[in-house]
Amino acid sequence: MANEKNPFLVEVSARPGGDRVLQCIQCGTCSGSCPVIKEMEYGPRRIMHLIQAGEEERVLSSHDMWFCVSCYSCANRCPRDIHITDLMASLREMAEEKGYAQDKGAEFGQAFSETYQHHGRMFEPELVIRYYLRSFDIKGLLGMIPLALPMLLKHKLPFWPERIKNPQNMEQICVPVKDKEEER
Amino acid sequence: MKYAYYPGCSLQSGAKEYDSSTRAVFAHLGIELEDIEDWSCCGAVHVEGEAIVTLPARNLALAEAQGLDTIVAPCSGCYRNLRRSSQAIAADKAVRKRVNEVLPDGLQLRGNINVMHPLYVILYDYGLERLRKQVTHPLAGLKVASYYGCMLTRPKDEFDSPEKPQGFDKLMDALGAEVVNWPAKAKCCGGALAISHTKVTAKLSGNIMVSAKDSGANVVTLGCPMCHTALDLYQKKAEKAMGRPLNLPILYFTQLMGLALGIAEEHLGLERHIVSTQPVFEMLQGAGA
Repeated sequence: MANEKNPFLVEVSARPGGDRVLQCIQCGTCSGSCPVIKEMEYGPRRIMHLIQAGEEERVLSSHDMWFCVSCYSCANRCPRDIHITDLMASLREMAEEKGYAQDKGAEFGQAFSETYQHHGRMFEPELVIRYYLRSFDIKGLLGMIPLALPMLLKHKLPFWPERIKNPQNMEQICVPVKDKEEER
Repeated sequence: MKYAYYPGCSLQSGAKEYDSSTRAVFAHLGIELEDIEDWSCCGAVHVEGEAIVTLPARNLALAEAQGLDTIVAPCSGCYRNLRRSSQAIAADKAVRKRVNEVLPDGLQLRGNINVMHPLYVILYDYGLERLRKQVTHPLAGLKVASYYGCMLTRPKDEFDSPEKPQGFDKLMDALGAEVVNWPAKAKCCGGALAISHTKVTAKLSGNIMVSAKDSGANVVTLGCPMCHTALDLYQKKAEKAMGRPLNLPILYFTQLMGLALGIAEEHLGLERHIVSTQPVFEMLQGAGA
């Protein structure tokens, strides 16, 4: 699907969830089904339209995909079988790659994947430290303190990370093959 | 019946009670779980691109190396990620080839691995009729709102309806509980945003618990550690967001199964919850008296 006038659409179409963006008929079922639509600037229906129109900067600099809770309500109901939830993940990935990402959700996603790649498994204390060091979300940090105490009392926070035998292998399965080929 | 068991990260930390109750219930029913050795994180909702398939695939290959063909994953997110990876590999030879290229330590995935949630093992492999005969302490007195969340039933799969799921309700009925019909059973708790956008999580989980309460429920059951965090740990924040008290005990379905099957409380971890589960015992005793 070469389209010189709309390279953004071509790029999105090649990503997971992006192959059927042109099939969108703007019915709005997705935005009507979205539990976080009130937090969004455009919502999934208008995001589809903006991709069709090639509006790379508006789409990738928006906060909308960072509010997506991956509930699959939109994708489940889409009459055109567009994998909207997977597409939102691809938009997050593209926003990171191209330097548009400016949301606490982006910092959290990075902190999360860094942590599981470090040990091969999640280690919540490290995730939280990585996240607050990246985001400087002091207000958020203060809001977490009332939760941390009961978690400690109920032994819900581990003190020591669980690790797989060879955590250095994580990069190999986490960094997409395509990117590796480009690096070579 | 023997399955490969993938606990996932949450069941090793915040959700140990889900792990211990699942193991206890399965052992009680004679369903064997063999831990996948050296399993790794599935990526939760923070995995993109090809890693969506390759990251969970390591666990599929490890299960295969142990000679097992079906994985049980109690966390809905892990269940979804592992299942999605397995389905993508089964559907496309090119995907399988790519996965086998990147798998470390000489691991290879030759066959197809089935991935199931423990709820579906109970419903479809064990069977509710058999289970009914095992119930020694029926859950009379409990009005249970079954909460499915997202990944257990979406994207659409063969086990349940993504819009009006029934699996937990049928199970709770078999355990002798009163099943509450309520509208928010398949809505999202917002767990994915719990740290980055806490207010959104408080609002979404608050809406769910208000719906459960207003429909007459005195307990919520679920099968996902992320949902449990949003409804149990964040309940105080949800109360603030909703402007009303909730005091709603949130129990894993395996904990309720444990109570109904007469399994020793030490395996059920009910004391580990943030919102007290003590009212559950009072309701059960009240009904028995």
